[in-house]
Amino acid sequence: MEITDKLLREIESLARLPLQQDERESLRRDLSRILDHFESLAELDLQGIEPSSHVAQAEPFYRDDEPRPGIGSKIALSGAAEIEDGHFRVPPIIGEEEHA
Amino acid sequence: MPERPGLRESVERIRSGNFSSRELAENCLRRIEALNGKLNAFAHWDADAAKADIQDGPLAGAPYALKDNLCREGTLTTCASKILEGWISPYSGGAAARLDEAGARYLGKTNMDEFAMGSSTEYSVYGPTKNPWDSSRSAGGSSGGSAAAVASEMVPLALGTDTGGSIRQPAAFCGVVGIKPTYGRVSRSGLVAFASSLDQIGTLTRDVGDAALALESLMGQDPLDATSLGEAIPALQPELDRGVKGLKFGIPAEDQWMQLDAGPARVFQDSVDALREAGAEPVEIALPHAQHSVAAYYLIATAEASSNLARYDGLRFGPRREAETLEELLLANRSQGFGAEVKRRILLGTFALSAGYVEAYYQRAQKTRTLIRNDFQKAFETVDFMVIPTTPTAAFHLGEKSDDPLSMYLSDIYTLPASLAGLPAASVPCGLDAGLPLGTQIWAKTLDEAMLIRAAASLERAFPFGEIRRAALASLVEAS
Amino acid sequence: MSLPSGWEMVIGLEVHAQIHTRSKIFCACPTGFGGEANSRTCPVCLGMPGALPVLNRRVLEMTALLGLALGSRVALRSQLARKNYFYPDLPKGYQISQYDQPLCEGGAVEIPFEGGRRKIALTRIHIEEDAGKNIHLDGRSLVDLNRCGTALAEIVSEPDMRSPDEAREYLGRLRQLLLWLGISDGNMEEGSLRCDANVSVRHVGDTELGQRTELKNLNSFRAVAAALAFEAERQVAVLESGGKVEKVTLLWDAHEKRSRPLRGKEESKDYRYFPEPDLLPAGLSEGELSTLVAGLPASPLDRLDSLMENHDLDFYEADILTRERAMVDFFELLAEACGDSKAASRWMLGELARQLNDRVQNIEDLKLRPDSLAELIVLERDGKLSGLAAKSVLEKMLEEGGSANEWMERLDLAQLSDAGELANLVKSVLEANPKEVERYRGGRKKLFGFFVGEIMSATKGKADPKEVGRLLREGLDA
Ligand SMILES: [Mg+2]
Ligand SMILES: [Zn+2]
Repeated sequence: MEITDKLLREIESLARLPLQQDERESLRRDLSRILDHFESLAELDLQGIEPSSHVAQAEPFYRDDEPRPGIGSKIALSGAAEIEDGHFRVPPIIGEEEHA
Repeated sequence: MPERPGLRESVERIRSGNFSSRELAENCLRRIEALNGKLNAFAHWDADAAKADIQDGPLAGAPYALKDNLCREGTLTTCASKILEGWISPYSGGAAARLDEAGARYLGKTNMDEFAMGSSTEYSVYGPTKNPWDSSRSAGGSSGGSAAAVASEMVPLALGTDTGGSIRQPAAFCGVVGIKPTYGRVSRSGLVAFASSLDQIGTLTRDVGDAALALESLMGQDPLDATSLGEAIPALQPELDRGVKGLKFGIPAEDQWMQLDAGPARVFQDSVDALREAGAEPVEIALPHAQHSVAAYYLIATAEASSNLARYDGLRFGPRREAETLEELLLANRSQGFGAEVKRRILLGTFALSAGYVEAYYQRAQKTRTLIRNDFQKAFETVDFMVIPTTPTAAFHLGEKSDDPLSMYLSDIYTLPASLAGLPAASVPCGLDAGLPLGTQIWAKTLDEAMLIRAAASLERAFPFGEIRRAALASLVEAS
Repeated sequence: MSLPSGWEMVIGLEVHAQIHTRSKIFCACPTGFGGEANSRTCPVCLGMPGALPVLNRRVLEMTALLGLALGSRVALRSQLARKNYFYPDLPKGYQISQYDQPLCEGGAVEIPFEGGRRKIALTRIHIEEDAGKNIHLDGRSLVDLNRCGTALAEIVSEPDMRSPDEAREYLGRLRQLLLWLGISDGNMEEGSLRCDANVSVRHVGDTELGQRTELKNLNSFRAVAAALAFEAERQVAVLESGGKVEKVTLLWDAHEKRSRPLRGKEESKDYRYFPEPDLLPAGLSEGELSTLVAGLPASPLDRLDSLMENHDLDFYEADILTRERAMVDFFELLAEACGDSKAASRWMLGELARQLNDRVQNIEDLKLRPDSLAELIVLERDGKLSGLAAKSVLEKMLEEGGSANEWMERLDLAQLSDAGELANLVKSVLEANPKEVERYRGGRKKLFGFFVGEIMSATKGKADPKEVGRLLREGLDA
């Protein structure tokens, strides 16, 4: 599978991981070569085979709905480079979106 | 009398009052300070770790190290990445908590490939770890720091993490025992995720008995890891002396995914012969889909990694760069914070999950994983355990593969099948090739750590490797 | 507002309801509204390295309950999935949600429609985690992760609605059920119920769907109706002028009463969903599901029907009385105890509703029991309490509990209706005011009120006005 420069840029954008111009070409070649090797999977007959998203053969377990205090905002914020008024501070967000 | 005994001996002698746990910790710290400049096995350590005296618990006072991707409350946890520079974990993961509860003494964190992505411990902000047997060679990876620390007797127990062989391969390269239990046996809580469905914590120790002791404390369900298993934990130490007489073991059928040079082939044959002499019967086993392990593994692992590493944006932890807008900040933090191999894998995984490609790559890989699991299920209908080389070669030179990612990936071929199937697997040192150690792997059925230990101990008895290692590394010993 | 003839709108709604739990969906942090920023957080909901999610059982139970009530197929094993996208209030860089194997599929929300019923089909109901909140300030934004990890049920309808009113009714009925089952508090102002819509228009008779747009930020019932009408008219105008509807996401601005396209670059969304490796497939057992089914209360609409049939109420009354389960439960007990459904309904929709509203109280928090109110209704009906006095008694009962008789005694409010006693009183009032009696008899009929007033002031308002009137007329007109 040849990764074109255009496709690579799309992937960089999805991953929020822009490459430097000098990294891009060698990485593009690496990825293409790696994916060429992975083409072997195309030979397999996978009709009707279930995917193995998990290997743990276990009954799932759940939490009881019992609240416990968190770690507190001071510790929550302790690793942040910038805080303001008990919040994580970030540069202005361009483009707003309500989501969930 | 060794100054720095192994895990079991440490516990016994602390208990019997032969020396105090503080003295032992001081010895270890002196050793780390003397040797780390040469080996770079530790990323950072706690120089004050020897202060308190600890005597209680099954691991009473024995020192241990964590790989730098394992959280322990109040300790630096960086995954050898610039993007986590300075991050102090505010909580302890399940593995660290269990070792602490068992009375073991934390000394520090070991070097690794950034976010456990690599097979050589060269992709690290701390610089490469050197192989104690030959400092021009790799200690393996990604738990190379843990393997080198145990081999050089800096510490009797180091935890590693194994996603596709990252405990077993460095164990083989450094001549120590590395064990990855069944997926789900050890809590992943506090393990900084690389590939969640594959990651598993395990041990690096000098011998199988030490591993058995440590694993008994480490294994067990954790309410904070929903994939941890509730099954009863087997007693492992009684398995050490049971031998393998009357058991059947699988050896991989000769086919395209098994090509060994003469040296490694001879060492592996010695292992097979030793087990046969111990009374076990070899059976040739076909794993027809194992040859696809590299493709399946690297697609699944990188896909999961691309998502697991999305949280590193520099907003809540890690250093931050200057930017006008949030988007710019995000891009700057990520493109400058991750190293080349991590970028390669995030991009590969993003591709494997992206619209238009997810069926042909990620989903095909997950289905292939099912075929590989089925191969194993069939195999274990006839055999009690399997053996296979840990690596195609002994430790390679630093720099030899770091510019050729595909050849690095391909060298993982022997460890990946067990990772994809979530099986318990061990690497036991069992010979030398041109003066460098090689490991033989044992694979057991899901949850059958007892069989794993039993077979590993039998193999170990045939090769008294502790003596070989101590003799070979005598020059290191003198250095401290 | 209505569409030009020949056009119809097609609406589907996506509703996010916060599930009423004490702790978050994947960690033990307490849920809540307001409070110190980032105080209800832990390594899991902060997305710290190494922290893992563990599913809250109650989230499964509540969502399965909703699905069962709506006739959905509830999966024994559903799959959590990661939805990958970057946003500062989403600390992991992905939301744990569900994708191709949701907990509930199918089912319908039934709504009253043109005197009958109509079913709005559901596509699915799935569970997911809420995001935190961003505060946009001058030159920077602040992030509060308190809400992050709150449990949500996302209820997705088929494009089955044809008017803003229908959409509003659907949302109302869904909210009613969420409250009815105790699943959510359904508070749109606080954001515990949120609504997005997909809208398209087409010519009446067409079977193909038109290009749809997505409307976000519909934070009230009024906004839902207004935004849908606005958007449909906009689309028709575009199409009628020969244009093409673009696939866009629009934000509703309730203040300006208009929608506007989401700012920022419009990139194609590729969420790269995949099964959440940290969580095994989740679901309840058949046994657990049957227990839930067994505990399902009768639906609001069934109770509404029963009020109309068995209590002879009209739709309007029955509808209001079935807004909340506690209300209709109260009503039925009350109607039974006082033996008068009409009076019970009048009291509940009138004075009691007014009092609850003034007190900002819910019926289930009341000290007032249905049989006490029934007692009050009977006292009034039997003329033992005047209407005014009855209201004072109700007020006391709401404040301090106790029975209607008790309060009537304590406040000395019992109505004076003893014929002999009242007759004497009338007699003495007439005797004390001979001039007025004379003028009345001479034609000044308006003075009747004066005599009533005299009697009322002599009895502090307790005299039965009907009886007083009768006796006065007797004495004056004789
Ligand atoms: Mg959603
Ligand atoms: Zn939390």
